[in-house]
Amino acid sequence: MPDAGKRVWRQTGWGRKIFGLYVAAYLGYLLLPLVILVLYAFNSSEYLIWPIKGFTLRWFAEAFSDSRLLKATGNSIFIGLVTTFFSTFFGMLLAYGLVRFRFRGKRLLETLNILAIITYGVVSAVSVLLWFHALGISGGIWPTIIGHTTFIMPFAVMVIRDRLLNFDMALEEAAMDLGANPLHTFRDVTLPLIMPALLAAALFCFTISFGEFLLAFFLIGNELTLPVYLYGLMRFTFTPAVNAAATMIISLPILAVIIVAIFFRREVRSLY
Amino acid sequence: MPDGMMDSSKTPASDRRGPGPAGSGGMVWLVVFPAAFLLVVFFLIPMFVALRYSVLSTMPFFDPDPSYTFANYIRVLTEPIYLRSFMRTAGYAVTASIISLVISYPVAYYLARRARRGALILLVMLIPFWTSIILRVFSWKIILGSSGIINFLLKTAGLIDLPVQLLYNRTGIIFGLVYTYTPFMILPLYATLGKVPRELLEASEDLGRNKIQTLWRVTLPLTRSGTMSAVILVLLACFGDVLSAQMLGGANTLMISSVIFETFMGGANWNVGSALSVIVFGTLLLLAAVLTWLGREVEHA
Repeated sequence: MPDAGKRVWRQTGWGRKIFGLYVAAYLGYLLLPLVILVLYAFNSSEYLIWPIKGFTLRWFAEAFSDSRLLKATGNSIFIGLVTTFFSTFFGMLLAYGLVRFRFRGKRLLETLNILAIITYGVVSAVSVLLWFHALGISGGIWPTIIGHTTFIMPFAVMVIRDRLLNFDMALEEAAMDLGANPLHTFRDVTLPLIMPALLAAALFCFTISFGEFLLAFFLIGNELTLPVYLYGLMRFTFTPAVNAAATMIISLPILAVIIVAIFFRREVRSLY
Repeated sequence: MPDGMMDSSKTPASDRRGPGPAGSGGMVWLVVFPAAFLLVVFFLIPMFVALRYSVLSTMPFFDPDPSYTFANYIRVLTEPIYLRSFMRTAGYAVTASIISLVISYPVAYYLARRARRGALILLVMLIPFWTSIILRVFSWKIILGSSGIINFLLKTAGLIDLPVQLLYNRTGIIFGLVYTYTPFMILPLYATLGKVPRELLEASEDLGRNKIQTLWRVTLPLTRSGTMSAVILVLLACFGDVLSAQMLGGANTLMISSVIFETFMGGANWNVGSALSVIVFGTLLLLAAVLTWLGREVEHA
């Protein structure tokens, strides 16, 4: 992209500067909410007023002594890990089936997979709630995991499918010709080739599950997840301990993004 | 982000590439079964469950033998609170997607065409969207508050004496919607802008058109379908939005999804809630159909 079209994109100084400035301002606008959350987490005043006053770690101490917060965090991590495992595993199987085979019902599955992504929202959440009610299943951690896996797995399918579509099938065929059975071919040829996509999908699934609010809100029952607990705090009480918790939560996905950026450049591109 | 699917070229590719073992039906189903089970049992069936409850007079756990009725739909269509919040949601969704388009298009253009490391900058830009939506919305609540940073800056600049009310009204919600659904706008735009062949732009300039003319006559028409897709994705997201309305809006700015949310949260009439859900789901399906149609159009172009 860089220099190829220099002739066309030769810039007259000012236009370019203003354009660049606008993009920088836009970047600032996107990052502002995160910066604000973090700043208040270290702010010594207990009111969320601008300008901020001094520096303190008090809110982190408070957050760590909040047993419900810790419990909710534990639940969210557990739900996130289990969801990630099933979403990535089942998602891989579906992606493989969709890419490599033709079968009855394939269209339906593809459509359901995409619809689950684009219609995800309060409607899906309450529908699952109604269904669980009808089945007599009350809320809890496992129902939340089922809800999460159902609606997060489709994202994994998209990522893994893209990778499967873009590698040389001849490699699989060669293995088969050399006498490997389908299972061995998958394990020894396909799996290593799609491993980066699997890892990217897994990171992606964990991040979504960890921050997911709507499904968890309706399916968690008497338990708590982190977003559900924070939602309660944000609506009623209002101390910067919320910001401290938020800061810790934020650092997690940022870490994930950095990992992705470094190791999975290709898979990231497949997401856009 | 769900935009892998925006690349409409992938669907036919899967059919082309996967001619292979056509039959072996049973085996394939063994492979796709877990995912198919989840999608059918916990996505498809619940939709029909909601559809059924929407035409029942009461929930089966109150009366094991409820009668079928359209009363819930009639109520939804006649009680002003429901109709108004639906229309309001449509209005907010359109407003938010237009604002989002206007502010994001130049950035997507810059990243796709000018920047050296467009993809990387985009990744950094989208970091906030990897965090829980609830935190982002909460942060806007702090920012827009009467003692928040925006009011502080306006006051310091001498533009206002008293804080401007940016929260618990339409302004707050629009801020929330525009911000929250940025990725749905900028990722498809970036993808579609990246696909415009450079030769066409060069040709246009060789023929003596300036940059503005090239943008207007070449780039915009070529990216029309992609742009429409981005707008529809944002519309879809706005219709499903609960948290912006819940945390940044007020009593007079209820949005349809947050009405559904509160209906089910508060144990109000679930049958009416189901009818609302069905109507919203229908709207989402309609938008999704337009989206698919646009995707096909891109393919044929």
